[in-house]
Amino acid sequence: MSPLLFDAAILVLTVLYALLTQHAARRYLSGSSGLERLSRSPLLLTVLLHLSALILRGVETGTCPVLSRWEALSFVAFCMAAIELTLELRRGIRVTGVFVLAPAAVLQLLSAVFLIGRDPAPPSGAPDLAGSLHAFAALLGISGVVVAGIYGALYLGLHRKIRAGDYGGFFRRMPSLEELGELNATAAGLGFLSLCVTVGIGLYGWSTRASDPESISLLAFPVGVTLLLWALLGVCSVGHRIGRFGGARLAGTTIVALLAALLLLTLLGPKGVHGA
Amino acid sequence: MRLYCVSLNHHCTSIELRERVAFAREEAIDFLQRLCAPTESEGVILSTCNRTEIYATGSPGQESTPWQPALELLHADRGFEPVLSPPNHWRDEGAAVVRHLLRVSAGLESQVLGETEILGQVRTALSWADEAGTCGRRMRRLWERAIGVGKRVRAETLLGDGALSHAAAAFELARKVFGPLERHRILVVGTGEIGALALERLRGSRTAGLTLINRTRERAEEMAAAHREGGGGPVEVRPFEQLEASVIDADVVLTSTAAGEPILDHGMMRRIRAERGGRRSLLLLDLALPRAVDPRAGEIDGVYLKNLDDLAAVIRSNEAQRRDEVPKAEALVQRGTDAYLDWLRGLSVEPTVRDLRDRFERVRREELEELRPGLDAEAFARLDAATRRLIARLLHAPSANLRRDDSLHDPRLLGMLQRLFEEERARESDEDPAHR
Repeated sequence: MSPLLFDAAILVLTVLYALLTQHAARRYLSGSSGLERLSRSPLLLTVLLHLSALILRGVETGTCPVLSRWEALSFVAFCMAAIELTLELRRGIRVTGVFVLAPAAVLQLLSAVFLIGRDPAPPSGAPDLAGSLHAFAALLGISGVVVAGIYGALYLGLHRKIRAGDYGGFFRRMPSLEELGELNATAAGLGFLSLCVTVGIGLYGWSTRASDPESISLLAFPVGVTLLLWALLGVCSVGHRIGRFGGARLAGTTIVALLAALLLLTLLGPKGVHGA
Repeated sequence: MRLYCVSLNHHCTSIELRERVAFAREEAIDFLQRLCAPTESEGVILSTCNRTEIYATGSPGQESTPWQPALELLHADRGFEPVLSPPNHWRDEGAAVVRHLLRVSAGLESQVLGETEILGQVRTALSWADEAGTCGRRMRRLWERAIGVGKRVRAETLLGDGALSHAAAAFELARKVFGPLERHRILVVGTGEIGALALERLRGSRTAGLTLINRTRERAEEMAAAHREGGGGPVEVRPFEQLEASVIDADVVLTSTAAGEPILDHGMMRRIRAERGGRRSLLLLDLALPRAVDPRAGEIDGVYLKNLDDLAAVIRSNEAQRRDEVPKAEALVQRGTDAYLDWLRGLSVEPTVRDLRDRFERVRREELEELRPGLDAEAFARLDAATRRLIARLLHAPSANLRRDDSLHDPRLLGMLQRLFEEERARESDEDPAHR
C-alpha cells in the first residue's frame, strides 16, 4: 500500500467514524424509531470498509496489521465497531451505540493523527500465522472488555437513576436494565473467548520457545495485566452463565476490567504488550 | 370552495353540552346527508368524548358565515344554542381549519397531550363520511393528510411517548427494569383501584404468569374472572397465606391493599431475597396508601422499591418530555397544512390550466394535420414530437406560475382568463365554418 493510499484510507475511515458517531448521537438524543431503523447501514458500511482496509494492509504485511501502537488503536476502533454491530444485530438495541462508537472514533482519530503523513511501518519479518492470530484475538479481547465496561457503566448509571428516582432523559432513553445487563454480559463473553485464544496461543508459543533468550517473560507487567483481565472476564462470563453473577456486580467488575484494558492500551507497542 | 369547521370541544364547551351534541355512527351519517345534500357539499363529522366537530365545504357565493347551515341543523337536532361571549364553540374557515384538524390528529388539541386514540377516531370519522357519501376529493385529501401528519408526529417525535397514568407508569418502570414482560412473572397483591387498573392494562400484554392475591379470596376470584372475560390471559388466584412464596416466584410485585400496615416487612423481604438468590432482580411497586411494603426493603441488593410518589415523578417527567416535543409536532403540522393548501390552490387553477393546454393542443393538431399530406411518416413523427415539446415548453412557465403564485388565484382573475378563452373560441366559431 503506497503512503498516499494508506493516508487516504485512514482519513476516510476517520471521517466515517466521526459521521457514525454523529448519527448515533442524534439517534440517542431524538430517541426516534424512524432514525433507529436506518441506523444499521452506516455502521455496517464503516465496519466493512475498515475490514477491507485491514485485509489489504494484512496482505501487504503478511501479519495482523498492527505494526505500531497507532495501527493497534485503529484496529481496536474497528473491533469495537464490529462488536457493537454484532450486539445490535443480536439484541436489536441501537440507542446506546453512541457510547461505544464515540470512543471508537476517538481511538481512530488518535491513530490518524499519528499515522497520516508518515510512512507506514514496514513488515518486520516473515509471515507468522500464529502470532497474527494471537495479536488479533488479543485486540479483539481488549475491545470486548472496553465495550463490556461501557455497557457496565451504562447499567450502573441506569441502576442508580432508578434507585434515586431520577426519571429524566437518561432514564427515558436507555433500554431496560436487563437488556443492558445482557449487552454487558455478551460483550464480556466475547472478550473472554478472544482472550482465551490469545492466552492459549501465547502459552503454547512461550512453552515452545521457553529456552530462547528473546522469549517473553510471563512476569512482565503488561502480560500480567492481560492475564488478570482474562481471569476477571472468566469470572464474569462463567458466573453469568451459571446464573450466579450478574446485575450491578457484573457491571462493576467489567468497569474494573475496562480500566485495566485502558492501561493495556497505553502500553501497546509494535510487539503488542510484549515490549516496545 | 370554502372549508369551514364548527367545533364543540373541551376547551370551550361544557361536558353537558358535549354530551348533547355527541354523534353515534348512524346519527353522524344522517346528519351529514342532511347537511351536504342540498348544496352537494362535502362533510365529515369527528365525534369523540372530548369533541364534536363538523367539517364541511360551502360554496364561494354562500353567505359570509358558511357554517350557518351546520349550526342551524345542530340547533334543530340537538337544541344547541351557539353563544359567542364567552364562546361555547369554535368556528373558522380556510387555512385555520386545516391547521386545526392536523393539530387534532397530531394530539396537540387533546386533553392529554399527544394521546394516540384520536388518530383512530379521525379514521373512523372518514369512514362515516364515506358511508354517508359526503366525502369528496377535497375532504378526503384533507383527512388523509391529517392521518398522515398524525402518524408522522407519532413516529418522528416523542409527543405520544411515556405513561401519563399511575397504572401505565407502573408498567413503564417495570419495563425499564426488565424490558418486555413476556419472560417475567407478575404478582398483584390487593384488589384496590390501581390494582384493578393495572390488571386492565395487562390485558393486551403477554407475561410469563400473572398471580393475584387478596385477603378476601372471593374478590380476587371476581377480578380474575373479569380479567379473563375482558380478553386477558389466565390469572392464578392464591390465598393470602402464600404471599411470601408468591413474591419469591415473581419478578414484579404490585401492591394495592388497604392494610394499614406493611404486608411485606423488612425481615420477610430479606428472607425472600435470600431465597431467590442469584442475579434475579425484584421490582416492588407499592401503590397502596398507607404503604404496604416496608421502605427499608428498597435498600436490599437487587430489590427496587417504588411507590406512588415515584410514579408521579415518572408522569411529571413524561409530561415535560411531551411538552418539549410540541415545537417539533407543530412544525410537522405546519408543513402538512402548507402542503394541503398548496394542493388546494393548485386544484382551483386546474380547470384554467387544463383549458389553456387543451386550446394549445387543439391548435397544434389542426396545424399538424394541414401539413401531413406533404410529409413522410418519419418527418411527420419528428414534427409531431417537436411541436409537442414546443407547446410543453411554452406552457410550462404560465402553468407553474398559476399553480404557485397565490396572487393569481383570485377567482376574478381566473374568471377573466376563462372568459378570454371563451371569447376566443366564440370568435373562431364565427369565422371558421368548421367550428359551426
